[in-house]
Amino acid sequence: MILAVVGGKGGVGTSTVALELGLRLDAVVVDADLSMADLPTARGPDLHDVLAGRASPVEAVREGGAVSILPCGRTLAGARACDVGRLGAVLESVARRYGVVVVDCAAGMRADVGVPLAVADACVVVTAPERPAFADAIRVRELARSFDAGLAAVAYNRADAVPGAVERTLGAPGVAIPEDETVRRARRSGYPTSALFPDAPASAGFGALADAVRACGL
Amino acid sequence: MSISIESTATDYGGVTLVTALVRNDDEADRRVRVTNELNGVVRPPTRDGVAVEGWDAEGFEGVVRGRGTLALGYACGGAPADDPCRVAWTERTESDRRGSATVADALRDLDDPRPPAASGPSEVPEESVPPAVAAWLDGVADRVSEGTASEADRRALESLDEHLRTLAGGA
Repeated sequence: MILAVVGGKGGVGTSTVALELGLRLDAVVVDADLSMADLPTARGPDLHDVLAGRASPVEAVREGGAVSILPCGRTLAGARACDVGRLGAVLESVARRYGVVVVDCAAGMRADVGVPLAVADACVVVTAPERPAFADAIRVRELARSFDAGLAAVAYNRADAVPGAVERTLGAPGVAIPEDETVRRARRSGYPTSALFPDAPASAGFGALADAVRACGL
Repeated sequence: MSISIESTATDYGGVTLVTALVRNDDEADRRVRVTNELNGVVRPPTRDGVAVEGWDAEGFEGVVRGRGTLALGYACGGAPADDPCRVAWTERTESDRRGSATVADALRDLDDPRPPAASGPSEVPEESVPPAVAAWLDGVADRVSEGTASEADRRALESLDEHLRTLAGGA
């Protein structure tokens, strides 16, 4: 199963949500933000190498941490050398080997968002209580619809409740992730909040989000 | 028949370029299949390395609007001949029976996410020093090695050194 996590706008918490869902769904998280990767990385082959044909998808997956991650390179030269056309087959091959793949998608509406949506079984839209964020969430939701990637749930980040209008407009159940200092602390350490602070309010939100995804029966 | 086709093939240095005009005299839209009749594989038009929608190795499939025309063009390895392509079949089209978009659609229709080459530092070629500056530096180097460097040379070098430090600090 391939689950694309998209936000449309940057800074709404797409990578945070992808990492948390990776932990909860026992998935490999693929950092597909080719030019502005922000999930933790490590030495060894990364997605840039895989998309340039220098490494196989499975050998680039880092196992052994709290969450298995296929990290992305940080260099502009690496990003330029990528063949984005390979990304779909890469995600499918990781899914065949590991079962569940969560894709942390870039902001914007470029091909590195479209390709994961084209191969995804479903998507999660991450948005936040700010008007520009919601406008971009609607756009990326439409993009997901054109690629037939069903919306499993809406992650409404840094909020205590999801307005009914958000669920109605996007057409999926919303889960509020409360503003929580532990999320920032966990991100600095590179670990999911749910692993470091299981009793934090945000961890409960991420748990509810994973339940909403599971409820789709994918 | 409501669908007609006119096609021509022209040789351009070993590659045959085929152009075709498909005309629909019917009121209704019709889906058509145009197949290559030349002895060679169709090289369809591409965008970002992916064949434009409707094209494959044998030809093109798409919709001609009612009372409309469709202009097609492709390259082919085979030698030119009369009527290089033909309409293999036509059928009535439903309003829009396209399925969901694919990876190829994403690559074709969405922007390339790779940063442009001009967005960061690249390898600087050795000859990047302007010729006039290189010539002046060569002259100074000669004078220094001959022991004939002037006070003006020394001041110019100091001024250049200061400029370079300022530039390096701001970069």
